[in-house]
Amino acid sequence: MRLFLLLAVSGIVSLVGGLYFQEFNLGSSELRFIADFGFGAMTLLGSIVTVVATVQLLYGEIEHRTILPILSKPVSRGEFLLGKLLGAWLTICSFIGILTLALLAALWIRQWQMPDLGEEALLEQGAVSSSGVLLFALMQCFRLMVLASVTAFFSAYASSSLFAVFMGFFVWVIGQLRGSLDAQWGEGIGQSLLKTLTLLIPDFRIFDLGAYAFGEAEASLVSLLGLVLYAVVYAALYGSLAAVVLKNREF
Amino acid sequence: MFGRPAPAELYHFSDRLALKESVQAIELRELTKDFPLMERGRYLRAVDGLTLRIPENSVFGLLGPNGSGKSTTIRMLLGLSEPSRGEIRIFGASPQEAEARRRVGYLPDAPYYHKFLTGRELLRFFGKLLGMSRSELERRAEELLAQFGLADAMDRKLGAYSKGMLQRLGFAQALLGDPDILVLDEPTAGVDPVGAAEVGDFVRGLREQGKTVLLCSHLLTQVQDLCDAVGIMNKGRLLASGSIDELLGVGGDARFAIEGLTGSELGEVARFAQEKGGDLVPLGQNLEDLFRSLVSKDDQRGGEA
Ligand SMILES: Nc1ncnc2c1ncn2[C@@H]1O[C@H](COP(=O)(O)OP(=O)(O)OP(=O)(O)O)[C@@H](O)[C@H]1O
Ligand SMILES: [Mg+2]
Repeated sequence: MRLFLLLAVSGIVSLVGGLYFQEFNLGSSELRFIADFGFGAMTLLGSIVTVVATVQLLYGEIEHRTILPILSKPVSRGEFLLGKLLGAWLTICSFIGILTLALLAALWIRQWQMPDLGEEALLEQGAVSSSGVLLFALMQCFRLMVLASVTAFFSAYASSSLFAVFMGFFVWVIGQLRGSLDAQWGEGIGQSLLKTLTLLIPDFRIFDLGAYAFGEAEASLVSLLGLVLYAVVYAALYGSLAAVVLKNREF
Repeated sequence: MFGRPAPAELYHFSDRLALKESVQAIELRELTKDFPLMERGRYLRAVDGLTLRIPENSVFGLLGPNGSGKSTTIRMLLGLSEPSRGEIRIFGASPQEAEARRRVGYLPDAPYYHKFLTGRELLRFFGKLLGMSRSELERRAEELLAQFGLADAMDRKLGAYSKGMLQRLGFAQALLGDPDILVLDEPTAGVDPVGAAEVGDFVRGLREQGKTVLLCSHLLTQVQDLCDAVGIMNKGRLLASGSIDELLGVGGDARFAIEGLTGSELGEVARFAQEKGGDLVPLGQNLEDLFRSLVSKDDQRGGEA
């Protein structure tokens, strides 16, 4: 419940944040600025909410031993984990949903407040397409699904919530930086080995499709499906690892 | 070890065994649990070679001082913890199988429930885990909450429940799926004397309904007239087990704590006691005394070794 309060508050904060910038008149690039701001909030707050919610939902049960009466019922540990992950994902998606609505509202209000800019000018100077915003949000949901199952894996293994939260954030940061690290590394056996190792950590940056919203790139269905598949594979991988760890855990 | 049953009784017993071979509700064979300690290679043996059979429709009391391994045994019985060695059978099935667990209701040793739920919501949640239909679940939840005196409190958050209320909710939760076996880890912990007596009546009621009950308790007087059989543990090992009558030697070789006297001298002692309006009471008559002497002897032996 506290989490939902947090959800609501951060949604409103970004909305107000978006509107606040009407004080500065940045012209038409302002819309783009608001969108960028919203995307940033989604990525950042979404990741925080994901890690915290997953640890709370899964490790919280272990920590408070509420998992004992649950697992004494005819429920397998795999089913328990799946239920928790779905619960976490649902929370995350509704959070992203709230932020998306807030962002769209902010964009729309601002657009409406700028009648001086004609339709054409808007189109020319970096309009933000709402379908692009929705696409960005959708991909964030998939990105956070991966982050949730990675965090679930560490929660299943952890013996303190701090460890699980820390590892969740750690993987998030590494996953965000991975792409740029890859690009910097040269060739060589050591490097290829390291590269193979980094495959263990999903590349989170590829989910950031902000460019589509600004009309700078065209979305192709194939690449989007590939991205979804990428997310599902990693989520399944870490979900299964979490299930194995949980199966062997003592309560 | 303690007072053998008369031959006739023995035959009777084995006849029953032959007929009902398949209806051991719970069977533990050489059950052992080691917990690794911080130092590498060292471990704590919480349960050590425990072998028990609990027949269907009986009440079994698992007794032992704090830390003797009762809760650990129960956790293994419910598949919450994997035995290091040995075997567990619930109606012939392993507790790892969900269907075996469906037949067991569990009252944990502390109220491990979500504080932010209300009593009714908790039962709904567990009912869903049991796969109960919605209408059946609602009916059964209200019935159980009323039975355990929580009708007024069922829409309040568990965080505001008292210890005794949580314990009663625990009973309701354990009975929700109408299990054949009830595993009660310290059902009288934190319950007032009136409540403890009610727990006793409740367990008797379960036996009348044909259920099997395994309970841990430190209220030995209550255990003595509640349980059909008991097992006494210390440091993970089973020191004694059997029916109360067997263990206390009723009708068999009653034992006294007087040593080194001849028969006539003993008779004189008894007569003297009776003249003074007293009586010589055999030692084993009381489960509490038996428990204490067994455990202290075992501790001494452990100290010497
Ligand atoms: N998860 C665990 N990890 C390590 N040691 C454990 C664990 N659980 C129990 N133990 C140890 O196993 C021993 C038996 O504990 P257990 O809880 O089974 O005792 P108990 O008989 O239920 O005691 P009580 O009457 O106090 O409830 C204790 O020494 C305890 O410290
Ligand atoms: Mg205990």
